[in-house]
Amino acid sequence: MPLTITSIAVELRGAVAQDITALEIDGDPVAIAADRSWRHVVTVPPTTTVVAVTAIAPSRSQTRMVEIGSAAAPAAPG
Amino acid sequence: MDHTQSATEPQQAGSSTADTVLACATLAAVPLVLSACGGGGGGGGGDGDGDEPAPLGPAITFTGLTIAVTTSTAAAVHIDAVAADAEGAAAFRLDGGSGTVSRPRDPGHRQAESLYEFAISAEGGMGSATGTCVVRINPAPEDILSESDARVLSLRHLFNRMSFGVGEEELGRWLNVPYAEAVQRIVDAADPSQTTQRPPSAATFHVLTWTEYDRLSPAEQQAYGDSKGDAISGIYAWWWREIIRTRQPLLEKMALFWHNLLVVAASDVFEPRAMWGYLDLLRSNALGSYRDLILAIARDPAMVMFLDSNSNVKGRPNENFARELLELFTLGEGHVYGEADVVEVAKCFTGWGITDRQVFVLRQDRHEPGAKTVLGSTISFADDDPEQVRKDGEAVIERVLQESRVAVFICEKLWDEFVGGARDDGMIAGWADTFRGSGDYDIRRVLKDIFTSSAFTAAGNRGNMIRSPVEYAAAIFRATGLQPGRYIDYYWRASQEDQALLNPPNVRGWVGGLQWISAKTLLERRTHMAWTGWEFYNHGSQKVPERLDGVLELLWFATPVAQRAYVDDAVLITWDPRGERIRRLLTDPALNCK
Repeated sequence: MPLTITSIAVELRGAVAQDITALEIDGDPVAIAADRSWRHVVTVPPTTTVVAVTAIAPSRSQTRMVEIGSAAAPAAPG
Repeated sequence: MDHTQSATEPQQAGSSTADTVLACATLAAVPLVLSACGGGGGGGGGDGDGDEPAPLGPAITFTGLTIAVTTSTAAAVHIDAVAADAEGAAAFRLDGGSGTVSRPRDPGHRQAESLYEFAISAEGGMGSATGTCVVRINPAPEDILSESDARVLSLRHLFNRMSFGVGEEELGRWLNVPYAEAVQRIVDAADPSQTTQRPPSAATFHVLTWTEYDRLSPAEQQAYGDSKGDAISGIYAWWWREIIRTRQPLLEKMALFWHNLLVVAASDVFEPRAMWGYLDLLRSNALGSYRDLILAIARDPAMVMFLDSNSNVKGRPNENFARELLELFTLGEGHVYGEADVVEVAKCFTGWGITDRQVFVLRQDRHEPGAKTVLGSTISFADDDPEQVRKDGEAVIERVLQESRVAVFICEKLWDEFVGGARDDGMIAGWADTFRGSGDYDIRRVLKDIFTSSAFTAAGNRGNMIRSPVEYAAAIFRATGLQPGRYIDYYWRASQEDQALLNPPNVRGWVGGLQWISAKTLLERRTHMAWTGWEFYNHGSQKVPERLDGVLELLWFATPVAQRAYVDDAVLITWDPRGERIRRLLTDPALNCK
């Protein structure tokens, strides 16, 4: 069986400001660590996917977008 | 067999983006102020009331990413010439890279996109394979939020109606969330205690009694009147600012809806503390129970003053509030009640008034004794019961709310507000069943029904209602994330277009619809569009973050696509194509519709 790339995953890492009380990615809650960092794994599709990261604070919210995609070339024999 | 694990390296925090505040001096219009990053705080402007909090840092920064590659058989993996670990993973800082190797970086909120392609290669006994992983931070909205995507169109419609327009962030946030779930979460999350600013000075305005006022000199009386005017203007600015900056626009939209139903006009009442209390009442109850809202409005000092309830006393009933309660707040003119009911309801509310300090009070000695008959039911509490004054008023409200017509009346108003056009009585009846059946006239519950109904979501129902002056101005600022330099100026502009916030023309409120583009108001709107266009044009000529230099693109993105009449660049032959495009976009029917 020839070698192929079967999947690609991207772990996004980031930080939130001190006033942020909740973090969502595509509507799902994501834990905020004590040092204000967060991480989230995205399985990259053959085309592209857009991930929406939303930080929520009592007085503000902010959403940032990340587009992630992949492409695999045909396998070459060894 | 798959070979997948991942490991990471310690990462540095991404660079922060300093807030940028700019002001544009324009010829005849107010300056715009840009607040970059954070979405809250850090901006200038404001009118003295509702002080700005201290600037906040970036809400979100991207600090790094790890790419993990899984191969069909064991292989040595390289990602961007970096050898992956035994698990096929390699970690990267988002710091722009170093030396000759460039890396992606986090450009910061609302900055130009950062795009990077990671080349992947795998070598093993069974051959080799290559691939690419592309990461783009801050993709432009027009690239990712395709207008042909049904999800985007339905979300934009939702926000155009239940909010005051929408920008890329709000759309992006809900893009991957199922529509019904998004509706439920948005409706449930609205919290009146979460405001973007502190209350205005009107909240603590010192009220003089008539005796105290009479003791003032003429100059002092003048000064007191001026201070009242200033405080009331502060309320106008406060609400305009909240509408434009709130992160829960549904709450402000519903407060505005109830304001147009349970009308009190600030110019009539002209008492800052009472008017702030009225607005606070509307906002606090906007998404709660309509029963609670009616009970609260009956006791509201501003409403008492507006409808002269203090003069509704034993032997001389004043029917104002009683009539509005039946005709405008619950049943609607010509439904269920008669003139005799108006008289009897008025008697139930005798003794409901306010003190000299504008505090609500129940005066048993001014209350009409005896039984009252309302809608065929007898309300009777003992004349020597000191609570009769309270019980009669509350009981008559409860009796009125028993009528099935109440839920239908309110749902008809909600149809006119959110759906528009010819009413579907069958669908309204269904909503009314939900509203009434909740037991407490639960506003959130019926809104969820409305926003997920076929009437609301129908494609033919998009972009076919005219935005009110408040909605139009708010849509522009919410779509672009910009702020007016002075919110009070937008109060005056909208008042020239016949929508002075907190000052409806009469007890029936604003009619809306085509009224917003009458011969008079259309000309005013056109003038204000030109001013706003000039401000936006000047904005683009300043040193602004690159993404926001595309103010035009952000506005274009925010408009309903179906009805755009916007002229293509190719036909614009002018020395000032950008200014002309902004002007045409602001006057485009699509941006004026929702």
